[in-house]
Amino acid sequence: MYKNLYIILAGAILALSVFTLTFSGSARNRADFVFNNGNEPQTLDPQIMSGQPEGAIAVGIHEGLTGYHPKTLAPIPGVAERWEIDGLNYTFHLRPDSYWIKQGEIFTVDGKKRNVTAHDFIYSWRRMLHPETGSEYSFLVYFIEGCQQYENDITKHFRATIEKYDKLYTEIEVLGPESFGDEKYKDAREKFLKELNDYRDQRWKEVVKIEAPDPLTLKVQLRAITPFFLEITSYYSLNPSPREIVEKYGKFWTQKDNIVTNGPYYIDEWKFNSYIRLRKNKHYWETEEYVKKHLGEIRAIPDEKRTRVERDLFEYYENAGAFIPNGFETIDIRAVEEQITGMNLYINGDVDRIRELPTAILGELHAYRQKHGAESLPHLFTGTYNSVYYYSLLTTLPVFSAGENGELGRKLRRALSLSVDRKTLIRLVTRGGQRPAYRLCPPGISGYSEMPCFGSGDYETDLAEAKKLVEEVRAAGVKIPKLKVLYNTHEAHEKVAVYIQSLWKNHLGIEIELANQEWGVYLDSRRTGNFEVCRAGWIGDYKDPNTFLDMWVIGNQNNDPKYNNPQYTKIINEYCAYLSKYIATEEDRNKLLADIRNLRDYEIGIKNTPRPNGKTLDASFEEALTLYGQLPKEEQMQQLFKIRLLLFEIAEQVMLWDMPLIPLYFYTTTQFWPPELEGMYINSKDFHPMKQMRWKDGKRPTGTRYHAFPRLDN
Amino acid sequence: MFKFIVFRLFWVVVTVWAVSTITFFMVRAAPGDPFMNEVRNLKEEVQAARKREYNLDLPLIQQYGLWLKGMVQGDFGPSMKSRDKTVAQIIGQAFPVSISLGVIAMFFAVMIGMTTGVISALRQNTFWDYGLMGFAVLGISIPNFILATILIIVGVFLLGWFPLSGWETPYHVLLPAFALSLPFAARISRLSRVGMLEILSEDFVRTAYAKGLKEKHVVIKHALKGAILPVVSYLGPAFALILTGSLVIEKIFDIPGLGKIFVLAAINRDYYVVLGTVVVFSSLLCFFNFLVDLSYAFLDPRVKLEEAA
Repeated sequence: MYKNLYIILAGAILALSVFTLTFSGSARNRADFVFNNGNEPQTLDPQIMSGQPEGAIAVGIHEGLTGYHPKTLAPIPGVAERWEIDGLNYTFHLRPDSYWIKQGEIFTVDGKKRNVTAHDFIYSWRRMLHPETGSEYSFLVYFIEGCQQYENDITKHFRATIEKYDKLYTEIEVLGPESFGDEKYKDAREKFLKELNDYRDQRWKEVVKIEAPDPLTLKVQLRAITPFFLEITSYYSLNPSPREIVEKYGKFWTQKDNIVTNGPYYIDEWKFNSYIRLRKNKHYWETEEYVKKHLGEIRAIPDEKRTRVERDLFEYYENAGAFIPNGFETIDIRAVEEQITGMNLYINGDVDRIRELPTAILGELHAYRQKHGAESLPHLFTGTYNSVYYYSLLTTLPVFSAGENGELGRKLRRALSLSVDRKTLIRLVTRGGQRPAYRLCPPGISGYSEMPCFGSGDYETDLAEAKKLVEEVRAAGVKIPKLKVLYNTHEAHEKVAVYIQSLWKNHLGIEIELANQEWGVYLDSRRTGNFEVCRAGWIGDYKDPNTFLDMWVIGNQNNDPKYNNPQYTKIINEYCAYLSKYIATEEDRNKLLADIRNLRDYEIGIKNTPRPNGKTLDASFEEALTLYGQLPKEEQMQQLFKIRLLLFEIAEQVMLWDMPLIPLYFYTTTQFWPPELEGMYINSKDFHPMKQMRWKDGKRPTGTRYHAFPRLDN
Repeated sequence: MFKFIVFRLFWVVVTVWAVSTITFFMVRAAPGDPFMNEVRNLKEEVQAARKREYNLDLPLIQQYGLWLKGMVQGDFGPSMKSRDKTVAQIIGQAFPVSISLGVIAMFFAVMIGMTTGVISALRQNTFWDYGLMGFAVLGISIPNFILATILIIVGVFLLGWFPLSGWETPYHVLLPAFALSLPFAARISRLSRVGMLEILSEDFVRTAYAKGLKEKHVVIKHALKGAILPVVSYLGPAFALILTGSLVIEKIFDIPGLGKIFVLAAINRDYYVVLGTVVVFSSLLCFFNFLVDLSYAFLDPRVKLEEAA
């Protein structure tokens, strides 16, 4: 008997020793800065990544032509030390001392230090357009002349070549995992790849207007005026990837032992689903010497003559000093999914920033702060976010397209939207200090109207209008069936849906069925149009109405409500995208104005819409066009931007008159970080360049943080 | 004996195969695919290229064949969501963590359960008995996330003895393993109490006492062996429950184990990761049940393995 007990004991000890092997040996040193990213990133490949957790890491390890100012997100020099803009032509001058880094050391090729060149950017941007890369963000480079054409052409060619080779080699897929490593098909595969590449090289030369006259100069020609292009070059998808490494390791190039990056930090440790440790890249270009020189240069320019970039840079360098030596040595990025655990970690002092708080205490926190003032919770930071929460209405549903030209359906959709009491929704249901949405584009886009696109501003009036509209629909003999509201399984979405259900049922007499689906099923339903009313959210990729409005055009893969309005599509895809073409001559401008005034909903939807400047949208537009003709050529560009924004306002007005979706609220973000953290600001994208962060006086606050949090029920 | 082992191992393989085959077709029957995205839907051509890359464009039965072929050769396939990782890498990092947590928790459960069970049996109907069994009932009925929360409040925030989360030193494992073990300790405690009471009333125990042996000797040398049997038969299913039930504890203490990976993979339709974890879990469970059966032979001479075979 005891012999057996010993065997069991021995087994237990063996198991114990196995388990000690899973530890790193001893506790790691705490990093200078630890933040909770909420999720494990799916990939760190700049061209493939998408989503918030990936973006948060990208600003640390990768660097594009331009970077972000931490407060305003305005573009500041990155790999490009300066640039010139001449209408559609952008010339970027790359710094010679921006190096590729492998595990903390400069990456060398044939013994030569490998710096980041213009060819790296060309390679990476081109890679985004290839179908086998699978970039979600390839549309960002469409703003460059020829890129969209190139993508269309090579995609067609890709499909045709695959079909051709599938016919040639019926027993195997030449470009499939089956044939990989199979010697017998090596020739076929090489032939296939050559055919692809030859065509691609040729098309690239023919249509795309990107060139590198020398390794440190990158010239780009845009397809149309794009005021936010430097914001796009800051975006993580346009960060460069090292060609040698990508080609050598394929999709495994982003593994910790393979990855080569060019940002201020590099990946030192990576424990899947637990943490990523970043370490300072000591070869980074932003040294004390560099900053001193740069500050001196800017100081020499009189204050009023400084460009926006120079002003931003000056403020930023004055505050933070140079990254080397002042920046954090190590940063830990944790992937704690459970929000309560994240908050516990913060309060215990293990984590220095959390960006999502448990919804259960969000309301209490906001209420407490409202009562006791902002200084009562010094660790709490809130701000608006460039994003919107809305309900899509499937416009092809019989009841939503009833009547002549769908007019009754439109009335019903409008009634559904008007009958939602957004203020009460935020006060009692979501409780996170969100802002009610009466238009789709969130506030904060400079020069763009923030006034409501629909609704009177008074809920009772709106409700009366909604009831009247539903009466009209019913009077015309349309029977309103039970509507199904779809959302992905989540407590917060359910609460919103239940509230809206009660409003529609009680005030409009419409029966509502709630349906929640697990995430994957929900995405599938949305994509295939298998819903009636569906909850959704959208985060803007850049600060421009285009990122919120271009997806409702005909044929866009994200047009879930299947909104089908050729006039709207024309405004977005033609007028806004290629504006300079449509306002070149007096004749063109008159034609554009006439086109706008001929819009189907012009009389009711646009003519009398007020703008912040006190005039109507129609009058503002006409005035802006007239002014454009009178201005000297060098001032026309600024005016063109204004006309472009007015066109977007018109488009948004047109779209929301049809109401294919119901905007509900603009998200806010509520986060914790210690007040001693400098260089950290709430911004509209929730991107926080790590190289600018510092602890006040260089001292990280230690210990727990209970004292900072009062009892919330007081 | 040998025949028995071979026979049972054969059934382990068959069971794992059956479970993974059912899983294969079930995950594929769920709507959606791994290349859906919330942010920007991928273009059709891109989706097609992706599907081709992972063989998803082939007929389902052919995909199954390829997957099974890989499986037999020890290749779990690639992850479709974490594109730069293979399933083997993902499971390879998480599996030892889950196993360690499970083994430590099991160790706690047996230690605490057996001790309290035996004590209450020996002191039947006394304050000790009622007190310990009262705790056992509490342990069975309180869900472990509440236990975990209480342990965090006391152990981390009030006393400051333990780290809050993570997986770095053996210290990190104590709280989660304890929280995970308590409900099982409670069950084991009740089982061993009943087993012990039954044995104590047997003739051979009375004989042992009559021979003048001390209580310590009687209990440890003679009675315990019999009392352990119901506990041993519970160990197999208990270990299964500990492993699959650790998800909540993993989440609360942020432990990078298999549970989190399994759930996320299912949500993301990361087919091969789901299958890989199912294979690992099911082989483990079958194997442990096999071990339990085997241990009967050592503990109870009445069980003859050849007959069972």
